[in-house]
Amino acid sequence: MAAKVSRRRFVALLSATGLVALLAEKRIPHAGIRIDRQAARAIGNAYLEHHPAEKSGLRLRLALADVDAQNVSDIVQRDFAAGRIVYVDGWALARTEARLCALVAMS
Amino acid sequence: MFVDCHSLPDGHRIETDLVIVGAGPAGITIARELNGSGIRIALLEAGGMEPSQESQQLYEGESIGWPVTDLRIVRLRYFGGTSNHWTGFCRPCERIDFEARKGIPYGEWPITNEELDPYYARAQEICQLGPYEYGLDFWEQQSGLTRLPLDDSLVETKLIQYSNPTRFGRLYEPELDASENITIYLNANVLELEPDRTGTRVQRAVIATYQDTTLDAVADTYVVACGGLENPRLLLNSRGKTAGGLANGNDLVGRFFCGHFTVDTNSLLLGRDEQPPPLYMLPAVPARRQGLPDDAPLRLRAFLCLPEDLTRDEGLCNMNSELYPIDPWNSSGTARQSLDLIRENIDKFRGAEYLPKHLRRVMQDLSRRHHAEPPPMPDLDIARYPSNSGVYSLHSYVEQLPNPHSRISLSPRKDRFGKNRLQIDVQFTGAENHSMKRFFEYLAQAFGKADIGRVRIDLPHDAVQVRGGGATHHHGTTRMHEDPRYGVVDRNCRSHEVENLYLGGSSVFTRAGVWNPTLTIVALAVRMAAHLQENFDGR
Repeated sequence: MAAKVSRRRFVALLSATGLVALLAEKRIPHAGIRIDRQAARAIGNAYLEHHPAEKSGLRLRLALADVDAQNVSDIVQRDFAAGRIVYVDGWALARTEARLCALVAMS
Repeated sequence: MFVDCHSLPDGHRIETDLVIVGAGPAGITIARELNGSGIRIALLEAGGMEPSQESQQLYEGESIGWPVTDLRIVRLRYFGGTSNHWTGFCRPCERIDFEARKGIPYGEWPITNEELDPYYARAQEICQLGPYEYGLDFWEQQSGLTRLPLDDSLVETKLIQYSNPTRFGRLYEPELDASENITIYLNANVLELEPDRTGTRVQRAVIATYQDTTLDAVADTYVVACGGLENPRLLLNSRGKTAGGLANGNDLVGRFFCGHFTVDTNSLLLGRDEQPPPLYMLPAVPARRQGLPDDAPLRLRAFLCLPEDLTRDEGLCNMNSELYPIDPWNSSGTARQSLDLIRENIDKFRGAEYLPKHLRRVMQDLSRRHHAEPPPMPDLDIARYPSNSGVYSLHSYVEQLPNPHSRISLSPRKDRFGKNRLQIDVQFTGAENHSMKRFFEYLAQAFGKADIGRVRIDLPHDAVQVRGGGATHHHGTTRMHEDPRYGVVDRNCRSHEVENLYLGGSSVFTRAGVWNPTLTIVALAVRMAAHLQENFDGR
């Protein structure tokens, strides 16, 4: 369950989504996994700033209860197809992606 | 035959059947199509065979609305006209561009794109392109390259063909020189077209040279083809009989100016593919180029667009987006294009303001390569990461919609011949901003849905105005419409008011569409030539 995964697991989760391009080390010169988490935190904080009602680890974990490493990519694609899109610093992200980042930011 | 007007005596009169004002792609095409017809043609070129400051400075004008690209450098005033620095992108206007559309008043052409088809096919040859084929399936098969796998109910890929680019003056000079019925007059600045007493026929064109001699040309028929800005300026300056200018009884000349505006603040981050998608990166494909050696490659470029149904249903204007890798080290981008332009035109643009912009780009590129250091990268500003980040600029073009308040008029300032300079007042309808917002939202949705990448939208409320640049293409200022209350020319590009006056070039476009106008300008010129031939034959 997403609610129990570690930070490392979140990064793995994120890597399974389109955010891999945004976070993976090979795409950001001289940046390691620490930078990835920083990026995720930055995205998460920006998301929470505009969605203060979700600034609760419990609420986020509940919202992401059905998300795991196997299905996250499908869920993200379904978010886009259904128009569940949020804009974080201009980037159009699936709501699930943004919530995963928010969870990183709060952890 | 070429004649330099400086060699003609003051007061000389040119007597001919057809006067064409302007030797750019439209004027040269009309003349060539009538080569050998027996119709005596005087093709009047305001400049010489090479660029000169004294000619180019006559293009000075002022902008009093939203900013536009410098009027002195966006057009060229010598034989071949603006084709001398044309980039070469070609695609016909879309079917949807010609239709009456919900939410787009004044937008319906009196002709369809199907009517233009045979003329586009001929224009394709004139512009030295590949086969008259723009279908994506065809070119995927031809090139072995594929489109991005996006949901085509949200986003479509469309292709342009890239001309050599054809420099009309240089390429067609020998043919025109050898013609028995065409005479090209250089340094022939047409100051005004003088109507007869009734105001329904032009009776002569008044011409001045840089040596301050005055000539005139008398003909049966007159075609004005000196560009989307100079066409209205010439008519408005032709005030011999009517204060409002020639063919302007309904105060339409100069109105409905439409440009293409560019916005490049939005980004795409591709998630899966390390390499740029080749179809979108100007690939060379095997195809027979018309009028060129077999080994001359045809270059294509894929653009992202909204599907017609979606565009129609939401009442959006036409837009497209091309991908530019964001990479200060990658010389295949703007720096490379600038270098090519400089190499080709180093002599011609010396002293012109055109050159420094391109030199600056190349110098910046070289400097970055030398220092080999990335620019500062704020955490979330992915758009600044170097090329191997998979980040692309979504370099987008947006069609400006017809708007009577967006217009060319005469400035109180005079040029060296005592004629009023032009004044441009670009005004948007507001629908352009809304359309762009929807366009990028659909792009974001399509890339996310396909899990290919993510889109960053950076579009302030007044994005076109604040962030936009351009208006390098000029349309609509003597627009085509069946109803004289809404158009200066009829479906044959003939003035509604002046029976022996025709307008050529992008000034007759009813709507701009979103693609570069040259192919359509040439197609309309071929069509006009056929019409003129019929008229002359019928006498």
